[in-house]
Amino acid sequence: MTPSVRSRLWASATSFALGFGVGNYGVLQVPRPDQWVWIAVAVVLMLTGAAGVLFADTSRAVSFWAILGVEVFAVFTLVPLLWTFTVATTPEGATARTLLPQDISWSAFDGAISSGTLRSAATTSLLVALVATVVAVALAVPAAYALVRLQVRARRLVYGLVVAALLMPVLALAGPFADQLVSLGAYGSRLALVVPMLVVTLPLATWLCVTVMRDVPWTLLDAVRADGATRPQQLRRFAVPHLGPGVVAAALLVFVAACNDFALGAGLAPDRPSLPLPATLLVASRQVDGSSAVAAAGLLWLLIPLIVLLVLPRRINHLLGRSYR
Amino acid sequence: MTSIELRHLTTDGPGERPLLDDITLTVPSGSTLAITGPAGAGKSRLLRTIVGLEEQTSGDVLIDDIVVNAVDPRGRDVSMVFEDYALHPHLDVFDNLAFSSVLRKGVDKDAVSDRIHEVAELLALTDLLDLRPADLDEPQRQRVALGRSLVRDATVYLFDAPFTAQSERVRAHVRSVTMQWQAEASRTSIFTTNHVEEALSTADRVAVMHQGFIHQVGTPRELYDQPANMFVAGFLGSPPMNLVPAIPMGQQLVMPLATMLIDDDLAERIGERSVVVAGIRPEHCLDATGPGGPAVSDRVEFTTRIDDIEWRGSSQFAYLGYDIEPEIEAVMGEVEELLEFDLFQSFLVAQLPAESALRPGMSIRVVVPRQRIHVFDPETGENLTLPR
Amino acid sequence: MRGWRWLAPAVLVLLVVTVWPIGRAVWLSLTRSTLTGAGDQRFVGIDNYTDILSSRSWWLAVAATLAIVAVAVVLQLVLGLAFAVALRRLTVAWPVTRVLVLLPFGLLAIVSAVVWRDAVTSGFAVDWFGLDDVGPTGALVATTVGEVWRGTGITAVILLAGLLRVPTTLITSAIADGATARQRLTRVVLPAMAPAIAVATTYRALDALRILEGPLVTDAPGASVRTASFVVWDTTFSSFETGLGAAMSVVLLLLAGLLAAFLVPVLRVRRVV
Repeated sequence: MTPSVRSRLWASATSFALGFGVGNYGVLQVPRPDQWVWIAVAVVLMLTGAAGVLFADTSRAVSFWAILGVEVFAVFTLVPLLWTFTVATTPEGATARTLLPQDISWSAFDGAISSGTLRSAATTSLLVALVATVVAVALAVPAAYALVRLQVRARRLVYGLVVAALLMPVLALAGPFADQLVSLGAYGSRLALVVPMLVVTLPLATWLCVTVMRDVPWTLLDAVRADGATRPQQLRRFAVPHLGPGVVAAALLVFVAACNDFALGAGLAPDRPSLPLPATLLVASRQVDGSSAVAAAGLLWLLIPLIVLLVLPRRINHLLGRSYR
Repeated sequence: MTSIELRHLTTDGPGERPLLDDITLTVPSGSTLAITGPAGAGKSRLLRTIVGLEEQTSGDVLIDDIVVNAVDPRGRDVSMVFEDYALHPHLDVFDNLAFSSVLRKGVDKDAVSDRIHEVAELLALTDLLDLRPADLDEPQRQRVALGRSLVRDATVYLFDAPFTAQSERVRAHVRSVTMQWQAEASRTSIFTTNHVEEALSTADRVAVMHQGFIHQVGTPRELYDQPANMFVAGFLGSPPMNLVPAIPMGQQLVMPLATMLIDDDLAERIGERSVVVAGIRPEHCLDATGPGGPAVSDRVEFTTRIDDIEWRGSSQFAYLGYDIEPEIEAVMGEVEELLEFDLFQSFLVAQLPAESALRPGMSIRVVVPRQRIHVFDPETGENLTLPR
Repeated sequence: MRGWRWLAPAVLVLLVVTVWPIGRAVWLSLTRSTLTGAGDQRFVGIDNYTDILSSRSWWLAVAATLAIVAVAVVLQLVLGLAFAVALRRLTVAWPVTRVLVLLPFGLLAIVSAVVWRDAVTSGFAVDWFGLDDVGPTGALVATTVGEVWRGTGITAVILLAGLLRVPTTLITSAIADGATARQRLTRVVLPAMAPAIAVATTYRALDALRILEGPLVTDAPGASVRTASFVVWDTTFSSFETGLGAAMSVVLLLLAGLLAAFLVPVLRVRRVV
């Protein structure tokens, strides 16, 4: 028995045992209709085990451990999302008690879309995030270029400052910012949110742009310059194709992060008209049937990162993975 | 200590051609085999199959006369040096050298440490023991990878292109210390190289591999003097053997520049073939231009114009151009396409002594000892001049 | 220097938006003031700090926060590593898994906190695992699990990038040398991806330290477990005690700094720009 066969058989056995356990627990302990979820998971796991035995002795390069892992990963990721959907579609006055949605009512989604409060909150969030992102990226691109390409004294210090700001508990700054805005008389205005929001966007933008800059083939720029390209040509032939996509991906990530900021928005905008979306949802969650509304709005809001991910899936993963290093 | 035997080892590839094609080989205990061949010949694949990283489709691998097909790499106890060194970035040179040796229980740590210092001394790594791979240059990294294998006490040693990164000056030294170290412990080793002279000078026996197939195995001399086929002849030697199309006409073989008489034996072997290939090594093209040329009785001779001369310090190469018929050229092209290897040129290379005063444009009279000329079948590549 | 011309605007803005409020926090923390009545600020010296440092509930909150950080980080690392290994091998599924892996991170933390709280207080988990009234503490645990769920994907992405940086020949060479699966993991893969693990640990730990949404949605009168961030929030924005809140903010910042100062040398986090 070769090692790969042995490893596959072990994976099959584990998968089967896991499926068996899940199935039994589901049948014995979980009431319907969620029982079906457990049984479905159990069947998939046990089928994986069976397939593992069947294909154990083939030369195809398949890892059944990896298949098992991805199945667990899928369940782990999707069950809470399904639950969010169930909560969002629960009819008014009812409480969701099962994972599978019982009777689907879209009223919470309707409410989220037509609600003036949520709309205005979403507008605030998007507007503030947009301005803060544009400013941050405009500042971050040259800074990242200097950090990566130019000999700057205290480079490590600057980079350390960026990372420190990135990881700082932003909440600790919310109080002082609020106090400052009150004394300036700007407490509660939309535009006043932009400046504090830079605490979130600027370090993130710089940090991601450093990764973007590091992955740029700079020798190509040298070659382009050696070929005698003019400044506009360098910009068009080098910067746009090689820097553009990375900077766009970074900007999208920064935008999503700024949209999702909670602490600053909630602390700095006390009254409804200028409250950003995440903070509005906190208020909403305390009302009757609040959970439904929050879940619905959350799922709708999730469309933004989802679109970003669908448009640039590889670049986003690459950028995030490479940035943490 | 240990011998290796491969019996009809075959690995199917994704396409028509197998990655390893019916390989049968024996490496006697304590000897060194060099596997040489152009890039993509399947050399690395063969080594990886011997270690047990890849599985063969059919055939057997035997270590010490025991079939080890189903034994995992740990059980085979083979040491291998990888082409890209496979150094651990988080370990310093000393720990990298020790890595392979301390994976098994019951290792005498002191003995390993002693061996590491010995090997480091041999490979000029002593001053680098505290550094990490990132701090080393390419040749040093390669020597660490090589050293890691030498330190280990394994049954068989496989080196995949172990000297490529070394500079010309150091290379011979690294090669000789490695081979001495292996010989002292009478270890069995196989190394691959695409450097023909390295294979010929270093190993006890050489295998020429191409397209997953072993074309010939033998001592370096056998391979050089009696190549079994056209590929071996064309691959070994630098510059390689001149291979020219030749047309048999009765008792004569008509080559582009010269005509050679053939004896009955060879004529019978050539039989009905309309075209054959004649092979002449550059060092056998003797210069007989001036008076009192070489005293060769049984010879082929011709006079032509020198197109170009390349001076190499210890010798010179004269390039003598010729033309061939388009239809013959087409046949040659097909052969090259089949072999995926450039064998034929439209010139003949002759090796001249360094002091020769011949210049491009001058005419040269060349003499070739007749028994030095090989004749090959163009389709099968078989050497028709070899004694059967 | 030429480089500073490119760098200066970003650094200046960054300093303004961070150092200014921190300085203001330090100054505020030495006063007794409220958010609403900006007029009656009174300098009290280090009274706020002595109040905090001698407060039992503050230290309990800090302890709870650190416990949450430890558990969340360990869970995220273990799950993230397992998923990263699986995702790496199953390249066929990458188009789907690439999107799936980051989707939880895109969900608003507040939404995740609300639905995870509901799951254990009135939702499916009650029936599945036979939970009785879990109380605020149980709900806090649930929202923390929700945070772990949100962060596992991004952890997996970081670790996957680290894993992809381990050259495959390093592993094949170890196999050829006869390393067992265990030896390959502990001697080859984990050390080679140590930088990625170190960075993931630090980043996730500091991220877990600032969790605020979960504690906010699960807080109930008489809750026994609160987190440090929540106490800061509560003091500043519910009781409007700006001075005390600022002092707490400063302590929280120091706590984050200490955590980073502990993790960075221990894990040898290195990154050359």
